Amino acid sequence: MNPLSYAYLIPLLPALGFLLNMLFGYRLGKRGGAYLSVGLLLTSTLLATALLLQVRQAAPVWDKAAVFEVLEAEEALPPLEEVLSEAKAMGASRERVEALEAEIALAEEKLTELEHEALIREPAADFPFSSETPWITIAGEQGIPFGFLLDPFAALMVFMVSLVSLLIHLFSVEYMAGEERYPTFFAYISLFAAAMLGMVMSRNLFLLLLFWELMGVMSYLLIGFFYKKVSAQQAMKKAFLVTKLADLGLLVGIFWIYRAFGTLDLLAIGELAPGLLAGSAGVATGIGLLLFLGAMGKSAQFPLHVWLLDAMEGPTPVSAMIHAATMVAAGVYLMARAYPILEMGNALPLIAWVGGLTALFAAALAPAFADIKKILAWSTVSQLGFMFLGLGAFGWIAAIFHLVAHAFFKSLLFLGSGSMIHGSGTQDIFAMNQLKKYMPSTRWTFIIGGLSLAGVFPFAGFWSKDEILLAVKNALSVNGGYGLLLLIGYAASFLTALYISRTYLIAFEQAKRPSPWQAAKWNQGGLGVLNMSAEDLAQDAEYDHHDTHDTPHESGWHITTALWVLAISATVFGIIGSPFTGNALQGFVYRGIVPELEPLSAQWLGFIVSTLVALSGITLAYLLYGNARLKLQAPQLLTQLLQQRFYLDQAYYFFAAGPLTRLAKPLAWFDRRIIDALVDFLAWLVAIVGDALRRVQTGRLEHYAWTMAAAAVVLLLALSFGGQL
Amino acid sequence: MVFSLIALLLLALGGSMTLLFATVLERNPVMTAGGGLGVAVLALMFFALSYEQPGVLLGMYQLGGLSAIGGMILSLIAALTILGVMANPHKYRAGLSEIYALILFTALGGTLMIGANNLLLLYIGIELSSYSTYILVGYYRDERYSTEAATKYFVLGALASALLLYGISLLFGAGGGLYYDQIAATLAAADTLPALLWPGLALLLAGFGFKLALVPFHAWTPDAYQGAPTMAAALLSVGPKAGAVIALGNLLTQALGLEAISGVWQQALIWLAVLTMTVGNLQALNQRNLKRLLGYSSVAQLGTIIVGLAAGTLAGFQAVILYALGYAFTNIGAFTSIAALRDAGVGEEVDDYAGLGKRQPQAALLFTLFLLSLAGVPLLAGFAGKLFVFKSAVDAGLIVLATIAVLNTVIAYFYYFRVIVKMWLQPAADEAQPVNVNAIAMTALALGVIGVLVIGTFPGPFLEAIATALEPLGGLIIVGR
Repeated sequence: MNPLSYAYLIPLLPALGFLLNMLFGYRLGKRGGAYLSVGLLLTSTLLATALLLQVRQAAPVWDKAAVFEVLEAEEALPPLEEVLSEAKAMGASRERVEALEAEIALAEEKLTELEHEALIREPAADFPFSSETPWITIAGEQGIPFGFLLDPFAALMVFMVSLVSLLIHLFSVEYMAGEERYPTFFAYISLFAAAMLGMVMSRNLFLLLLFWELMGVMSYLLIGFFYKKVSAQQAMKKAFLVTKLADLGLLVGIFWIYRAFGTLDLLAIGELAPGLLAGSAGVATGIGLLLFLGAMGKSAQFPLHVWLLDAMEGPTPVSAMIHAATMVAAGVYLMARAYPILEMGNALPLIAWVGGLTALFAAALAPAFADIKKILAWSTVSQLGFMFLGLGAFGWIAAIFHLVAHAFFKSLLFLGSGSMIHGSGTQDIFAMNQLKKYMPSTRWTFIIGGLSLAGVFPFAGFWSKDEILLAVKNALSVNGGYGLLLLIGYAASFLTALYISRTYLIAFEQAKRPSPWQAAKWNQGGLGVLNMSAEDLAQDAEYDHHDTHDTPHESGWHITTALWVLAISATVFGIIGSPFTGNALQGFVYRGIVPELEPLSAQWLGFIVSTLVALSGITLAYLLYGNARLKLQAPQLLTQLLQQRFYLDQAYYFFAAGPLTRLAKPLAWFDRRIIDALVDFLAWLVAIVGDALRRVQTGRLEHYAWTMAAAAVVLLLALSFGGQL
Repeated sequence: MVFSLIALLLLALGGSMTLLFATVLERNPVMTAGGGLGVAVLALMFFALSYEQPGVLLGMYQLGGLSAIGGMILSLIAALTILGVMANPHKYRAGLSEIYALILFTALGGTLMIGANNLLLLYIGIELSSYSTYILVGYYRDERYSTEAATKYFVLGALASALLLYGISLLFGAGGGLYYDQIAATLAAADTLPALLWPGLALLLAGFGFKLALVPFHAWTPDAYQGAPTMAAALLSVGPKAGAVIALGNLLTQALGLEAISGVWQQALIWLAVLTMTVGNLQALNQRNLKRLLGYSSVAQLGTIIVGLAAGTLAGFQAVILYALGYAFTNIGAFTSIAALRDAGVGEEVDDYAGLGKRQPQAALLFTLFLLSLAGVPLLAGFAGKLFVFKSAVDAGLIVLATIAVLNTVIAYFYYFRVIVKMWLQPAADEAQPVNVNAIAMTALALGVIGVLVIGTFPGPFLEAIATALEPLGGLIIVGR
């Protein structure tokens, strides 16, 4: 059976969940709507598994050892060609040129032969699976077709997104219980998942953009789910405005692609890009930067990361959804899809720098926060930075590997934090009282997630982060600047190990104690202080008020099941991408003709260095927070700077939002007094005429008959005279 | 050939049988209704099967292609109307089985008009659907409004029929025959066009103007809609109109497509379209009664459809048919919503709908979608229809007409959104009880919304099917530019 015959159901079923929950959610009993959503998403996940297996079945299989020979032979080609062109330029003799050409031909022949040998199984005839049906067709225009593209990358994403969303749904059944708008929540979150699933299956950029924007709307609604809180209202607006600003870049980028390529079809773009953009690096760079602007907004890269922290106003499952399976992953996905364009231009080093700096910057901020959700939010920003660093360092597969691995372990950590909040009644890690005694499942799964994030062997984050750092190291041969980025990457890794260990130690191991960050406990920096009045704060505080349990309790089976399944998935997925399985993942998802595998000999040094870096981060955290051997008081100024997020939000507020608001005021006046008045006048005029015409309708038959007869006569005269002219 | 015949016979015999066995059938209303619905659905299927089998029946009626599409649209309209009637059959106690027969006859009449390539068959089709609707409008024979509406409609209809028949006879004189191709051939061969042609065309347009309720032949519309049983108004607003507009397109392009003539009817249609859209919308603005409001709205909608015919191109005709299809789903859906809510105890005034979003969110949501489709909001059928109609006008160089049409859409937004705002943003009057809507009515509404969404989101396949059916006309469409 062709996977296209059922693939469309994968996004459709959760979308149906949205519809049913919106229409009948409140009539389906206490948890009926929730279980309906879970059931639909479970079906989607099963279909996604079948899809992944079928794509795997259809994809080519390579012999790892032989692939290395192919790659070697490939690398030998460019120098030969260089020699040839040099020889031609120097005016070498014809014999020499002919000899060189023969040598190149021989090398090419050998390469083809090697490729043939390395291919254990030919791809199926219809691989990669794709469909296309006319959707919006306008005569004389190219129109926009509706279609899916189910290549290994898409299949992997579909599988990850559906599985993680399913577990988040399951988690929410218990976590959100008791909420007033329980069915609405499931409706929203189901459509959120559906939008992401649709996006990763889209074959053309227009369809992708539609789902991208749908995701934007759903994140807006979900971040503001507790819409009675003023801070949630602020946060939803902020997230929407910042990402919308970035989307403008994406939109223009897509227009430019259409202009340059004449199509928005991803397959066609991939095929056309090398030919069309050769020699016009400027276009490729321009498109790349515009798309990256969109990705920066969605994936919260510096300096557009400001919305992500405030997005923590949403319920915890929403945070898990935004930070793992959907939303932030979308930006990385887009850039990975646009890679054929990116590699023709010069945007990649910039992307690498933005990613690297974001990784370091966010990892440095995380240890200054006490709210567990905010710590994890910074962690997401930082890890996404790693992904862009990988993309920018020509490590396409490394970034994807980290994207999926991160989705698993970050949703694990977020759901873990949800379980902790559920059990202890607080988000402040200092107020959590020795959770390890009360919450064993949460504790062990949090440790697995934490070690994975810190990059400790043999957990997922270890393998994927190393791939990225290896890519950066390999990029050194292209540009020396990547050397500094490598150092930044290791520094960020060190800080990552430090902050996640700190979080674990304080929340799980330590007894409850007053938070040293008491001064600004909940809204540390950012919007809270900026434009909320004292009444707003008081109102929110009342809304937030719930009791902290000094004796926490373990969560129920919905939550622990979700946690364990994620912990196992994350670990297994890491192993699939590791040398233990012969880099099975990299041999399945790749660009170009043969997968770009790295021999173990190139990797082992990296493995050792990262392990040392991670362990030193953990050790430092243990000394500082575990047994408190080391007493280190951060300078007041530094603390303040970190807690205020380097005053970036304030800067936006004073330099962008403030002047804009002041500018908007006279414009608003003009709009209200002049333009609206004009419109009102026109509307009034229309209404008057309408009313007059209404009176023409007398209801008397003879009036009607006379009108008709007169009209017929007019028509008759007009045509009789007009026609003969 | 076989499939078309079966479909036509199904409608004709199905209707006749229901009439003949009325007294027997009335003892079992469910079976009667199911039978009517079955006939409509079967006819729809057979028309669909006949789509790829072109042919000519007795030299007068074209089979397959365009007439198959027309048959499908009209059978669909009949089926949806019957569903709406089934939701509350007690209201039609004056003759429970006859109403199904009349609905089927209306569909048959519409189908005959569309497939006709002979002026007399065209006239018979028009009259068949007209007489059925006269009776339907007056179905509440004990109610003053219903009988008044039927009387007005009938008298004016008789006048229109006279004009139409006169026009046909003049055309017969000018064209030397009743067959479309015969007329086209005679006119093409003539050195100078016969003078009789022009009054003939004018009276023909006047007759069609009445059937389509084009301004200034539209005065009967609001009275008839308000007085008629709601489902009869639903049928009246789409059935005969979808039939007549496609039939008019067919007649104009096949018999009168000659460049010297098409320029003239194009001008006439442009004027009629502008008048109809503008006056219809302006009169709708201040209506308080929902059925009257929808009556005027359907006048304006027809004006918009005519824009596609006025373009005088194949693309324009194609857009007209797509519009008619989407409009069928949308308008029947809107009327069925009103009927269903009326049965559930909600009044027919706009003010009665205040707070409906709270009292009956499902029905309110579906009604909202129908109104949005009428207004022409993207991803709904109404938008697809408008988009392609406007585009055809622009491509034909009728920029001014297209601009007026778009401005009219803006005016229309006002009265459609007024209802939506009423439903969702204003509190219910005094007793805000929940409203229980019949399950059959909900099914009909849901089907309508599915149609509206599918056509609105995926117009491509429909456009292609229509384009294929119009291919044989390809050479005949000629508005000179």
